[in-house]
Amino acid sequence: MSNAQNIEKQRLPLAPYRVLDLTDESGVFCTKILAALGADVIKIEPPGGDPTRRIGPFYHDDPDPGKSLHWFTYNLNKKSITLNLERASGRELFQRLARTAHFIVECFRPGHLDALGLGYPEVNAINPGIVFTSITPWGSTGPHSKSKGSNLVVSAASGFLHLCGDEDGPPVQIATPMAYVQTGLEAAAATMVAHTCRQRTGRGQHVDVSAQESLMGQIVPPILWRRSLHLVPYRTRMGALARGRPVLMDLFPTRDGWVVCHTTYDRGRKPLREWLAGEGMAGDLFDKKWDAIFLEAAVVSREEKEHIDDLFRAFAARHTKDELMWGAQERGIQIAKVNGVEDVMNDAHLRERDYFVSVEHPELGGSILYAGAPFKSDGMAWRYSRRAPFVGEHNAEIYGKELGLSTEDMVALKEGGVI
Amino acid sequence: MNGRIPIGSDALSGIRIIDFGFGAIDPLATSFLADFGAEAIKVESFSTMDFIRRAEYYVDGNRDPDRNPLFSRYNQNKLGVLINLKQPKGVTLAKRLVGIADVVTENFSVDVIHRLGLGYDGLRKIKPDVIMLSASFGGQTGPYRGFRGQGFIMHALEGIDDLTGWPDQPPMSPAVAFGDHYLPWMWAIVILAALEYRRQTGKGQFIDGSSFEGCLDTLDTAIADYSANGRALTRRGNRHPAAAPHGVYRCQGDNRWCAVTVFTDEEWRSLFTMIDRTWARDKRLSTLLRRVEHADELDRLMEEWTSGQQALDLSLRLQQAGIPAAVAETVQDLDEDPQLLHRDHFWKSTERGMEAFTFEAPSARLSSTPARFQRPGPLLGEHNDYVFFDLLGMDPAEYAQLVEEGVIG
Repeated sequence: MSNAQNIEKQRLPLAPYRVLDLTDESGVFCTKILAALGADVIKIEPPGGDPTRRIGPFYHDDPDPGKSLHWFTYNLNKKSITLNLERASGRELFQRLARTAHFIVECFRPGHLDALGLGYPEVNAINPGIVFTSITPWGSTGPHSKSKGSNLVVSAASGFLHLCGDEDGPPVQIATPMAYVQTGLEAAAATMVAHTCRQRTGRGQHVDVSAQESLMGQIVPPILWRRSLHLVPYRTRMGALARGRPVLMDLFPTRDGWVVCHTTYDRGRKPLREWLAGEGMAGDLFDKKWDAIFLEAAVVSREEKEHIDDLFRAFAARHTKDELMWGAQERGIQIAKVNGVEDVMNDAHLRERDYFVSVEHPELGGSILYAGAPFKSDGMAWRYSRRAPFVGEHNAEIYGKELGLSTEDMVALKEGGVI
Repeated sequence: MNGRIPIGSDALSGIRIIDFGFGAIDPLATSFLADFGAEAIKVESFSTMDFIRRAEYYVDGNRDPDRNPLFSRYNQNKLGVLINLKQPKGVTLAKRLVGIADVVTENFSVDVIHRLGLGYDGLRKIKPDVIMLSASFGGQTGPYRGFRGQGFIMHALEGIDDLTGWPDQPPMSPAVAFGDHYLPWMWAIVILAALEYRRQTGKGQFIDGSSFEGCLDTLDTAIADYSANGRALTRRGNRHPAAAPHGVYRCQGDNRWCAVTVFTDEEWRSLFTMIDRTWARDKRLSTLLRRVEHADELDRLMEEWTSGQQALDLSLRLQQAGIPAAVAETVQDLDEDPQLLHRDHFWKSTERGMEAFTFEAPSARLSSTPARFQRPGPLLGEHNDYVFFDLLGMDPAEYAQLVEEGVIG
């Protein structure tokens, strides 16, 4: 089937639903997902534009709030209206919009919207079907609920950060905001749970998402090591460990970059030993003293680990990343290239599956590539078709056509700093 | 525990999932849905049980596959049955189960499900509106079709290792197999979206899920930055392009650290008021851009200040001053974190032999239909009676026969 036919047949499952998007960078991935599934997501920006428009990097490095690649990436498909919630007439407009919405997703400090009379209880009173998702660093209630968060701070509080980095160095982050991405993802999943429930009961509810707990989802095994096995996890450059020093589990330099090798004893280590032997590079690995390491999960000393890893290091240095990865696949060994962003962007698999999405930005005279859909199906679609909106680009459509405000009303609201 | 399973009024009551998955990703996805009341039935057999039952996680050396805390956690709130899919009658029995299912999930290597005779085209004949999610490493097409790669392989290929660590040092792996603990929610979203699609159209569908592709949103703006500017983001330690100080600073004691991030001028004023008011007059630090430029120097000054202090006390004082900060908590610290205690994050089981196991609530609290802990991951065949008698209406003679033949078992 051709792509065009496919798109014709496919259906966006959330197309009938409207989302009022009051997120910031800590939760915006949630509404991006809802927009990818076809929801009518209306980003509500304060007059003058949303603060996330100032987040870099920028298109052609021009730090113009109209050219934020952060804004572009996270607001695909969405509409934008401006609205000042600090003004009474702004709040009134919000309430009118809330009656038309199926979801509200917000990232304000707990209590902020309640103080404005726009919290879940108030919206629920006028629209009992609403699914109202609050994404905060620590959750809506509790002793830390009013504390501030950031991606790094939440990563620290979740236990994730302490387990990333060298054993003898400081904990270190991932360069992309993983806490925010993971939180947005889990928030979208919980929001969809509440939506599914609403389809049966007709009633919405409040969905209270904690970023701290979201990133804890990453460290399920270390949490168990501690709580159930009474081991003390510690960070290494090969991830968190709790006992022993696994051999042949590390990152190794090759002729043209790095690979990661991740073997477990019988699957992986044994065929790897054979592979080294085939090129005369197995050293003393067939000595009986090493059998335990290749046949079971033996714990070794630092010296023993270095001895075995050095043999593989010498082998890896003679090969390319691709030779090692595909050779390992044939032999049932887990080795992969350590790709950089450029490698990912040029990956043959992703190209063949048409993974990246090119979205037109007519005003910039070109298009930009974005991450695509996580799945393929002839039924439903996950699709990006419209660039992120300009500030208030849809004011006329929403306020004028839909809410029926006259041009004079809108001028008055604009002059009053409401929209 | 073979008693009747009550029909609840949970968020996802009435949704039944047949789960052929193993490992982390697929089991955690259906477990998340089960936390909210979906009936997720895990299919295993004595000959091909989920390999996680054999993972090195035994408590007190007890190697019983029914007593593996990691398996129990990854499959919390699910039911378990035994069907031997290597026997034709086992496949027939599995198809009867599919006949009463809304969703079928599997993560075998590509083609295995077809070889077993449980491919989508066959299943839709039994249940025309069934939703089937096949989640493999690379999906059903392309060079990585059939690629075998567990979590640490996946995040290396996705660019995450290259993005982790220090700019002047080699790449490194993040704490855990990142995709294994990210994709479960992605697949949960996809399953719920497919249920919505079915509601509108009356149709099921086959979903070709690719783990490799499903994780790439974690590259954040790096994709657009490469596309628009030709720049490839790489690791940058604990720095942030629009905040300084922004780091993890050594505190008093062994391996104690506090994360501090200063984005706004207001936060900056609070910080120097706490530390050293002369910083206010330092021209190198007067604007955010200058502070970012002098981040090395700021980090040095920060650590001079933090290293003599107790991390928790420091983080609380910084927060009181309006500066985002937190202790880099160890997993031991999480046990006593007052916020997690308040939110009842950790769930405990009172089942015999599972007192030491740990279960966890999802990160979202739903006000009307919260997730709740109903049971640990299933013992092998724990819910055979409920599923075969109550759901499939099998008569005891047939059941005995199938057990005898090793079809159930």
